[in-house]
Amino acid sequence: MNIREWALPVYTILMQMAVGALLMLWLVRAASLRRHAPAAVDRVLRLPLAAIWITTLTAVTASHWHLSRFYLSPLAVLNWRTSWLSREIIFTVLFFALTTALLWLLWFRDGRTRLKTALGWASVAAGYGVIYSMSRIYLLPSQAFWNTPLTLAGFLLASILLGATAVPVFLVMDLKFTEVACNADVGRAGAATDAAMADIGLRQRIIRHSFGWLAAAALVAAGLAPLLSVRLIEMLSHGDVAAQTSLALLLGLYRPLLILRFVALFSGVGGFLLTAWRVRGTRMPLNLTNSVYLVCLLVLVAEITGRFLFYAVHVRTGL
Amino acid sequence: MIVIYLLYGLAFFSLGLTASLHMLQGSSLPLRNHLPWLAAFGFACAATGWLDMLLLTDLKPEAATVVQSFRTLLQPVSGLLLLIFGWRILTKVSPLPAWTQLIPGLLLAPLAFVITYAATTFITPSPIEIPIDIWSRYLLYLPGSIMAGIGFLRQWRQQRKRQYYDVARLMLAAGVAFLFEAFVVGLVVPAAPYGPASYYNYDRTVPEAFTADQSAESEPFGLINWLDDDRVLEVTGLPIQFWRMLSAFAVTFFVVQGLGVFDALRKRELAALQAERDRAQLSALTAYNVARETAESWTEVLINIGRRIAELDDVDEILGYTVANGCHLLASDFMGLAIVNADQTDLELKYYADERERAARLVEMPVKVKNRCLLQTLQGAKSFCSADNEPPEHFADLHFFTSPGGEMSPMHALAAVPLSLDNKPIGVLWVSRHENAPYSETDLIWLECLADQAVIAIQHGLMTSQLQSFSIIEERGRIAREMHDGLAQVLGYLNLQVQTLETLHRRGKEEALEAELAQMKDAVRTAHADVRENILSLRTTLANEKGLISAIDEYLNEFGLQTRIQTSFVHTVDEPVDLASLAEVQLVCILQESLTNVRKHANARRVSVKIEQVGRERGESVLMEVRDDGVGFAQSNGSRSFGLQTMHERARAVGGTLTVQSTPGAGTIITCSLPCLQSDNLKRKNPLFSYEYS
Repeated sequence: MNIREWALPVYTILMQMAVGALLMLWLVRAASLRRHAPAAVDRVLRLPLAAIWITTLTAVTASHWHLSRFYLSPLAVLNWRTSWLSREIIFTVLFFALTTALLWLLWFRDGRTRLKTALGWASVAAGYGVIYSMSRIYLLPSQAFWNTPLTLAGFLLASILLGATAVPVFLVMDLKFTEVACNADVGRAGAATDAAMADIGLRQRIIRHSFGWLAAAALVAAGLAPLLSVRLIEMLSHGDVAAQTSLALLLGLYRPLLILRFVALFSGVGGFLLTAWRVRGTRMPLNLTNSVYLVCLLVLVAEITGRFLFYAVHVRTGL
Repeated sequence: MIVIYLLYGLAFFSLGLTASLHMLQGSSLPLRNHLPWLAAFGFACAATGWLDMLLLTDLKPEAATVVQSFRTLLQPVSGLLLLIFGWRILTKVSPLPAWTQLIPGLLLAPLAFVITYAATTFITPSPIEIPIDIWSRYLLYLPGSIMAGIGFLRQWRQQRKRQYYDVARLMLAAGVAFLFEAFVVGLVVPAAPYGPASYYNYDRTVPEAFTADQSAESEPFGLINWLDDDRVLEVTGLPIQFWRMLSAFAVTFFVVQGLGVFDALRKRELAALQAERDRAQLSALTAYNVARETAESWTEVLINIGRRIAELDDVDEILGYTVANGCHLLASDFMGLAIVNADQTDLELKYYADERERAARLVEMPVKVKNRCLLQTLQGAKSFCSADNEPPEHFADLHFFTSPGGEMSPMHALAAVPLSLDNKPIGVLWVSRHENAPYSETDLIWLECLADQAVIAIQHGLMTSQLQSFSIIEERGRIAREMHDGLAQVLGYLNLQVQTLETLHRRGKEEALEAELAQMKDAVRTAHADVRENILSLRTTLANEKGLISAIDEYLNEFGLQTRIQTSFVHTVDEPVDLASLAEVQLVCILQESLTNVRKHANARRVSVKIEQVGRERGESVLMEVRDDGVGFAQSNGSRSFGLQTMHERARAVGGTLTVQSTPGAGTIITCSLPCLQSDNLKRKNPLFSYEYS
């Protein structure tokens, strides 16, 4: 794969990560609103949402490297009636616009909780529109490796897995940022404000309450991933020559990467379960930075490797 | 190339050695916890360079394989050590800004892509050492050098802020050297289809690229070279190894220099801190001494006031002394003592002290005190201390006398305490300053102590005047008794005698008449002697301002002249005798009583009086001995004469003793011992006592 081809894994992985993270973040928000004041919860979610927005922006930017003449990319939406690519672009733009509006509301407008809630779910829906369109692009009869419902399932699972491991990173990153800023204030003013301490406490409570089910979601998604792979291998083994060739490449040349993918995936999810168990078992503040970053890194490596294999192994049927 | 690799290795070996030495010396640098990583990185890099050198020599194929394996293993290790050092120096030396906490989270995805990309390259058909070399550089050397560079640049900023410009320059140079190293070691790699070094031709696949390497020499790997070794040689005319050697020397030189100067600077800083601590200790000691001296001065003054009260000194003198010393000890420009007048209508200034005159004055004419704060202090019976931002009207009416120049600078600080007698406010004691330097809590406490002493002095003065009244009444009674027992009896006797004389004269009994006249003459002489002695006694008792010794001396002379008894006076004490005033009076009274007894009953020719100070170890006392050569008397336990009993009572009243030794025909010795004041402790050593009460 060259740089132009790497633009596709970058775009697909980052978009799936952004959509999955927004889904998980909005679930965290819905759970937190039952226990805490909406204004306080929305204040905690500002930085994670900004990270999702940056991820989306990076994905959209990276996708242009796939084009010969990127300035003509807007023309691609004209075929929306017939082309899943056009629909993918439309959903991507919609997702980005809704996320931007949501970010603006969270940062600059207090209150309006219902609007924020609705806008968030609309963004999630648009995001899954992107993922659906994205998977439909690859359902080509000429591509035996891609042309199965497993592609759609794989993309959906990837978004859940990436989202479930990215949200802890964003929450911990935000907590760390707040703690350091608070410490800097203590250094300057001699004491932390009650509001700052309350903010830190709220963040810790949200992390404590959400890590368990986020880890469970990641475990379910990771558990389904090998089942999908087994099913795919089974399908390819009964397929045509192109399918057989793809299978040979997957289990031959690219076998180390396939192994790497699953080792990284289960190491990451295992680490996540361990972290969630540690968080649940104590009320003391924990230094979660290294563990959640490592978990996310391993899952990302696993998914990127999987996506690399997805693009590297396909063999066109016929000429 | 061999020389370049040798020098490259030497440079990094020096870096490792220097860092190790600093580490072993127990350096106090802020970088000390990270020196082991720097040292390990230096040694690992040196080994890598020297292994490269060995590979250029004519090694046997087996040896070359072993060396190459070692090198392949060592390169990522040294990169990892640099990465750890860079991370630690960037994050641990000083706290990072809060926003940097966001960086790792945002770099996760790019890092994951790079790692995956690196992993995919290992499945390409190229020799294993090429991807190891390239990815060691991209993933370890590059971020490690950048972090170390930024870490040193942060040190540069810190040292500049602390104005350590020499260290700052070296830190800047070290930071730039590490960034240069990041470029030449981390970004420039051997020609390969990876990362920034090369840009793919779109039409080539990876396996084809390596195949092309063998077929097409003009475009190796079918790539456009970007930042690989060949490109550097092409652009600069020098191999990349030369630039890496240069960067190694730059890093080593500036880091080593920086460590040395940094260490020296830390030592200088420690020496400065030590000096500062010594100065602080000296200041604390000085402050302690000053506080101790102040406390001693205050104690001396308070004890002295108490002593003067005990000695029944004049109240005016005591209060004047109190005001004069209080004004000085409280560093004030004015101190005043005001008493409520007899009508209970006004507060009137009685005593004041002015720092310029360094003396206290008694105010003869009534001067009203009108200052609001002072009146409130009196009414509320609560101390007052002006604050830093006290309104100016609180300092109004604090000038009572016009200075010779006319203009009086206003007061800007005031402290006042009430004087209360039996829970009833009787006056105010206060101090004031021109300078805007408020009095402290301690000052107020000292002022309250002075006020307590002043109240005690006033109370004692009142009691003394009452006692004096009682003494006068007692003395009058005594004189009346003397006149009744002496003069009145003689006059009655003379009246009877005169009647007897008239009868004898009418009857013409001349002989009997003459005999009666002789008896009358004796009676008149005795009465005259008694009257003269009483007059002498009264004069001596009331004239004690001459001093005890002088008064006794004078009294004995007069006594000798009046009674024709030979007197002698020996004393070994100097004026003033260290006795309380009351004890002095009692001593004189005892002496007078003794001499009266000598005159009346002893029929003595000589009487001697001796006064001396004895008993230094067990507490001093003044001993008076009165010895006569008269007829003496037989001492009996039960019957004691009224005069002797009075003498015993007088001695006991002032804590003394009296003994009488007498044998018929062998004279009498009366010994009286009265205790001295604790004079050693009350010696006026303090220069403050030089204040004169005018």
